Amino acid sequence: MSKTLTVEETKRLATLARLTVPEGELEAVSQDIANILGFVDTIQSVQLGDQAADSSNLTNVFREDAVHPLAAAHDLIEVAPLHQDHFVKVPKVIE
Amino acid sequence: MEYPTIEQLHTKLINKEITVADLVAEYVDRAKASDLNAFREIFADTDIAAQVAVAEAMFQQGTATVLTGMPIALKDNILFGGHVVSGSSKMLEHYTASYDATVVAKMKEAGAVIIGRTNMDEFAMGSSTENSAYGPTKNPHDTSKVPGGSSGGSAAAVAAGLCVAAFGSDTGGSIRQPAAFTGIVGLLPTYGSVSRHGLMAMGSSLDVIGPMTHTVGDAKIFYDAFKGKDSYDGTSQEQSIAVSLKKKLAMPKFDKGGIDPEVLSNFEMIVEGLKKEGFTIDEIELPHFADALAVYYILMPAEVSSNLARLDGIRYGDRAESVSINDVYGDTRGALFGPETRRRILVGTYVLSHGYYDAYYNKAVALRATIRKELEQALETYDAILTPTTPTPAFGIGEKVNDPVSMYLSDLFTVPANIAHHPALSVPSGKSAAGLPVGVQFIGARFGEETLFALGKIVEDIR
Repeated sequence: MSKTLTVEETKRLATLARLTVPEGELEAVSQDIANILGFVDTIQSVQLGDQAADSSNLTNVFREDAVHPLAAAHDLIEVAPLHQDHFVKVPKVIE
Repeated sequence: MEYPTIEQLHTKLINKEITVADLVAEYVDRAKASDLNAFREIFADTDIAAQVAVAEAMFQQGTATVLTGMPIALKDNILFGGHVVSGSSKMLEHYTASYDATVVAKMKEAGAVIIGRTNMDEFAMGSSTENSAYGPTKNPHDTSKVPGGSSGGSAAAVAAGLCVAAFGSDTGGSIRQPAAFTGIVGLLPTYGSVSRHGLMAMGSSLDVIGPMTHTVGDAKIFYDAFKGKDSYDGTSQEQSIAVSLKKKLAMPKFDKGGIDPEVLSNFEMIVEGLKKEGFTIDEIELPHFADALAVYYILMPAEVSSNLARLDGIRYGDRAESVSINDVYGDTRGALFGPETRRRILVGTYVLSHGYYDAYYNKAVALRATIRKELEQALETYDAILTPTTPTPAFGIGEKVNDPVSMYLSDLFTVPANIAHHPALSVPSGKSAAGLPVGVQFIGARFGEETLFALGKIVEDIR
C-alpha cells in the first residue's frame, strides 16, 4: 500500500521525538518513512477474530522493596556529559 | 578454513600442549592483522594479559571451566565495566561502561578472555553492519559482501577465526542472519533465558543475547555458561526442556518467488537429508507467519523510540553545544544518530502517536498474540519449524543501504521467533556456487534449546 507523509507531518514527528532533522533532509526522510509505513500497512487487511489484546498469560515479577547500596552510583553520574559533585548539570528548564 | 572447537582447545590446555597465553596470542594476532573491520576495539595488551593471568591461575588451582582461557568477543552493545561500549554510534563514542553486564560477569567467573568488542549496526538496528557509524564490516567469504547484521562484527570475527566464540544480540534476526551469511552457528535463545542486564536496550520485548560459534557443540557450551535467572532482569527465568525427538518437522508454506534459487535448492537438499535420517517433514499452514515482518516493523520501532529517548545529551555520551534544553535534546540526537536510527525513532513515534495508535500498535500487539498461538500449536506436534535462515546469501556492500524496506525483507524468516518468544537456531547448510554460505533455521518450543542443538548436530552431519 502506498502512503504519503508531508514535510509538515515529519516536522511534527521530529518535534515529538526530540530529534532535529535538517531542512535539506526533510523531503527524503518523509519519503523513507512513508515507504516504511506503506510496508507495515499490510496488517490493516488482516482479519482477527475475538482475540484478547495479549493472550500470553504474563505475570508481574516483583522483588522485595529493600534498599541496596550501589557502589557504582558515582560512576553513573560521571558518565553524564556535564556534571558537578553529585549532580547532573542541565540547561535552564523554566524560562 | 576449519578452526578448532572449544572442547578440542580445552583438551589441549588441560594436557598442557598449549598455554592460555599462546592460545590467546594466536587469535589476537589474527584479529590485529585482519582488515575486515570486525572489531571496533581490540583491548590493550595489558588488559588481555591480566585476563590471561586469571585463566592460567584457574588451571593451576584446578578451578578451570571448559571456557577458561578461551578468547571471546563482545558485541559493542554489551557493557564491560571500565571499557568503552559505543553501540557503534557516534552518540556513545566516548562512553565508558560503569558496570558489567550479567553475561560479562559470568564470563569473568568462567575465566574466558574477552579480547575486544565487535562492530555492529548502530544500536543493533540493521541487517548488514552498514549502519555502524564506523564503517561496514566485510564478509570473510567475499569482502565485497556484507556479513549481515546487526551482529555482523561478531559473525565475521568468529568466521575468520579472530575469536573462538562471540556474543551477539538478536531482536529480529541479528544473530541468525549474520551467522547464515558467514557460515557459522547462531542461536536466538528463548526470550528470558539469558539476562538482558547490561545489554543496551533496543526493543525490550524482543531483545535476547545469544552465542555465535563455529559449531553447534560450541554454541551449547557457550550458551550454558551465560544463561539463567538474574535478579537484575525481571523477565529472566531458569527453565529447560529435555530432548525427546518425535522426528517430525514442519515447514511453513511460503511464497517461493521471493527466495533465491540456490537458497531453495540447498534447503531442499537438507530436507531430503533429514528425511533419510528418518524425519517426517510436513508442509503446514501458518497463516500469519509472513505477517510477523510487518508486526515486527511496528512494535520494534515503537520500543526503539521509547528506549532511545534516554540518549538525550544529558545523561550519557556526547552532547551538542546548544543553549536551550529542547535544542540540546534535538540537536544532540539529530547530529549523533545515524539515518536508520533516526528513521526508526520517527516511525516508532508515528505508530505510537494519537490517532494512529490503535491502527498500528494495538493491531500489531493483537496479531503478535495470534502468531504466538500459531507457533505454539504447531510445536505441540512437531520438534521444530524448519526454514531457510535468510531468503538470499550475503548481498553486496552498498546494495540495499538506501532502500530500508528491501533491507527489512532479509528478516522474513527470522522475526517470527522473536515475535513469539521462541528459540531458533541457524546452522550452516552449504554454500552457493559463488562460495557464499547459506543456513537453515530451526524454530523450537519455548525453552527447547536442547532439542534445537540435537537437530543442529544432525544438519552438521548431513550437509
